[in-house]
Amino acid sequence: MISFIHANKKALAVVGIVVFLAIPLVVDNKLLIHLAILGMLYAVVASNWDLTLGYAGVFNFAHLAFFGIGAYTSGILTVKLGISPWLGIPCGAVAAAIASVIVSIPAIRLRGIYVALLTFACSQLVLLLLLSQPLITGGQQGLTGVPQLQIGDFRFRESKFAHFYLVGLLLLCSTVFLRRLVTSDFGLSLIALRDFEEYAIARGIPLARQRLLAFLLSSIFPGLAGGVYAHFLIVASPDIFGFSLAILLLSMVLVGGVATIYGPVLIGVVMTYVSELMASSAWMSEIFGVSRGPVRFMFVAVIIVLTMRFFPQGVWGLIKQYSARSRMTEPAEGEDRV
Amino acid sequence: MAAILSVRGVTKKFGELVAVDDVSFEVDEGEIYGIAGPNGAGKTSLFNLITGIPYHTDAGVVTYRGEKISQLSPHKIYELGIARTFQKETAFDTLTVRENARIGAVFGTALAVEEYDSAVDQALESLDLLDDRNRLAGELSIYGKKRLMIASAIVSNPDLLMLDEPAGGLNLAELNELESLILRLSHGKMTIIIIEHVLPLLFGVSNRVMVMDFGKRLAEGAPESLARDDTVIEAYLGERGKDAFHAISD
Ligand SMILES: Nc1ncnc2c1ncn2[C@@H]1O[C@H](COP(=O)(O)OP(=O)(O)OP(=O)(O)O)[C@@H](O)[C@H]1O
Ligand SMILES: [Mg+2]
Repeated sequence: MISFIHANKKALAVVGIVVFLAIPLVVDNKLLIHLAILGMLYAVVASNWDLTLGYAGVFNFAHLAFFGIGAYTSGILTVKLGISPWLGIPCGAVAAAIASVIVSIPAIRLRGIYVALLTFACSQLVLLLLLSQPLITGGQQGLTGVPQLQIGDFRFRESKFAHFYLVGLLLLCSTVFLRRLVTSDFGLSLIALRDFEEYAIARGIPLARQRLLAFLLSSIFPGLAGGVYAHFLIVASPDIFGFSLAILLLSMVLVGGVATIYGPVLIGVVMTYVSELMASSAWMSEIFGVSRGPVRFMFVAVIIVLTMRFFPQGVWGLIKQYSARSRMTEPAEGEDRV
Repeated sequence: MAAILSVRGVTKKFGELVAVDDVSFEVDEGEIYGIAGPNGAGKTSLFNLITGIPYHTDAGVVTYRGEKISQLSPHKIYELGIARTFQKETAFDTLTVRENARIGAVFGTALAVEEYDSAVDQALESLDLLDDRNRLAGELSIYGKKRLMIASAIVSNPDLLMLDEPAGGLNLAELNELESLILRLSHGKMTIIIIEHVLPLLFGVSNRVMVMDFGKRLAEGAPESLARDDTVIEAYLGERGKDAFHAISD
């Protein structure tokens, strides 16, 4: 079975994409489509996080801020200045990229827990800044009235397909971009720095430059996704900077499998369904006797702990492991590694 | 012969401890320069401050081909053609053997993109690692990792190769292989500095040897003259060690 999958990788990818394209044609449930869109946006953010967290081994807890900055930049530019969302979204990506460079400069020289603290502080700083300017950002309530995407008279929110295909395309581009990156010599250098910093430097790898590039390159697609998110939900909310979203996204990377890209893409969508459906199902909260939010939060935490304990390589790591065992051959060139 | 590397009065302190104490020496183009000394003498620290990994010298200067390199970033030092290995077997464990060697070829070298593969294969071949090329480096034995570390150092054909105890933990056959490899690289015009406790190897390959103790340079000279210098041998190995040394070197 798994060797079959391996032998027909390309064909399966095509089949997968065709099936994907057909989903909105056959699925008539609005909630399921909505969650697929949300899930794919989160998958973009999670898989890009894998570049810094997984490949570079840098605990960047400002990653969600790139997404948030994309959302707010495009939201504010369209609401307050009236520019087109199609211009606002790339502006969001540029703003996210600038933010990534600013946060990476102090973060590059720090290690482990200090990187985590510094980057988390940076992301909270952005949040405080947003909350301090309620006239521009909408403060605690978030920025409402964000215009929806539109081409001519065609409004995206009135169509069942439009957001789905747009976000699907974004996820596809992001995934291809990331996979090319991590299998390039640049990707190799990030892994080398992660595996043995001093040795990597001794072989001519400029640590500061490569780490800065990792931050920068991991911020662009989340910046774009943030803009799309704001126009999709017609609101930019400070919840993006909250702890629960960060933990949910972190679970996608860890459960999907660090340093795999495909893992967070796949599990990004799956976890979105699991978590959102839990939040909307009344029976969960009845069983546990608490309100829905915390149950979902606890569930995600438990999943992270179980994954780390029983299969730290994550879902994609497991798939790779089994496929390698069933092939019993040497890993081919350009094969990914954990 | 012109000096390729010139070290003048370098010093490294760790608090009260002076790990390298005002050491000076020169290495000539094309020579094999040996460094000996008991544990804790400061040999590795000397390598560290020459290559800037992980620290620079507190005082003094290091010049390479006339250019001051003592405060240069480590990747720049590699770019100039100085490649080192580490005392402890070190590898990029989650990368394959071939990718490990490739790391040495790609960054800051004069190689063109289309030369990477052949340079990598050649380096792996000369360290007998070609058959292992698709294995993960983490799966290699200690000797395998040590060879891979040398492969990744020579893949860019550096002008100066610095080996920190390459022979530690090797058996006799492996020692012989290593010795002939070092001589082969040297004939290919590479300048080599080698730190080694295995004295027959060190004295066998080196043109000159420096002996260090307590961070200081104790003596320097041709291996034959040092081997006859009982004060050096005694300071280095102690009384019993001296007898043992004469037993093996005679
Ligand atoms: N980072 C460090 N911090 C504090 N002390 C250090 C550090 N590195 C080395 N030392 C000390 O400096 C001295 C010289 O160490 P070094 O590793 O250079 O010796 P060495 O000659 O390479 O010894 P060996 O033959 O055991 O490898 C030792 O006393 C060691 O404990
Ligand atoms: Mg040492």
